[in-house]
Amino acid sequence: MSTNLKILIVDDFSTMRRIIRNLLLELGYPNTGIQEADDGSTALPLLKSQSFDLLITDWNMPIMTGIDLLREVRNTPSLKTLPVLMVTAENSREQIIDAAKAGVNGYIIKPFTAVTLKEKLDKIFERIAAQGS
Amino acid sequence: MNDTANPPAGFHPLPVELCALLRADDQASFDAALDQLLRNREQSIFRALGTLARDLHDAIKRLTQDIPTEAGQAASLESARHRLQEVLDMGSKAAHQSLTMVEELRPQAQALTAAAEARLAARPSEAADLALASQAGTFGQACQQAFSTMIVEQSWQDLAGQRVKQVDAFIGRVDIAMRELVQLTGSLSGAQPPDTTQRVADQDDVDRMLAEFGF
Repeated sequence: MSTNLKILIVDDFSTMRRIIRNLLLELGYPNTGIQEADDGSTALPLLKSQSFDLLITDWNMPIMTGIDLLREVRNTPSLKTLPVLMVTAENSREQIIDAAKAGVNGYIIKPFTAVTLKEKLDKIFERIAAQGS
Repeated sequence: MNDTANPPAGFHPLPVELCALLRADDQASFDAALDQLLRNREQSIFRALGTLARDLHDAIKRLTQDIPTEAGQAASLESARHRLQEVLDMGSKAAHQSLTMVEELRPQAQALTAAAEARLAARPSEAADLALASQAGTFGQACQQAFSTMIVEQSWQDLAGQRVKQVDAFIGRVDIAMRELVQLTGSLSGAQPPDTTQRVADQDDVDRMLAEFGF
């Protein structure tokens, strides 16, 4: 998997955005390829105006939640194939099923380590590569 | 029919409104008496609801009195919520400071590890050099491992913060629901409701609003 990706991190807590950024740096992703947004409503314009390779989003956020952002992404023709990793404290079966139905590519429960993040990212991109081949 | 006459033993006198209803000899006076009877019954219920709202409000006030302000006075609901926001801010500040330290020290640990590995690869002749390079390499690796753990551990701020936000939102909803209940019960019980188009500024406003309804 290439580490030269453009990634958008969406979380209303600045500490969590910074933690995810640090974990990505630890995995070898360049700092310059990482951008941040604090909820779905600020993330969506960025996603529509720029080209990202991966979206990492929290679930619980004000104004536009992660699940609503995911649905918007899947309903937007230019974004519908964008890989989305949900990073959240929500671990109810119902919510995981909702995310899966909405088309999420991966789901991580907070807190998590760089190793867990790498596993999920590898799996997402392996699956995408397999679908493309 | 004389409603002031003594009723038979074991019977309670009928309410005045019911007597008026029974005495009504035309549709208009019957309707008026029926309306009055129902209104009186409703007002009793709404007054009871209002009293309940007032009791609930007092209970919450007593709860907030356990959270004194810096001036030593009892806190209001608003100041209790402000305290929660302070907890969020302090936690966020501490987590960012920890992350800043890690971000500053991690490259140094990586550089120390790399320098130690290069020194060991050069096979130093002095035993002291060898020991120091080995020790520095081990220390650098341990630091990097610890920094990774420290980064992940800062997640507690996000997780705890989400819980605090949920409690804050709950208090806000209780506050709004209580004001709405007081307004509703007050207006239904016949008291003149205050202007609901204006936002209630603070706890004193809530108290005043409740007092206007006699709660």
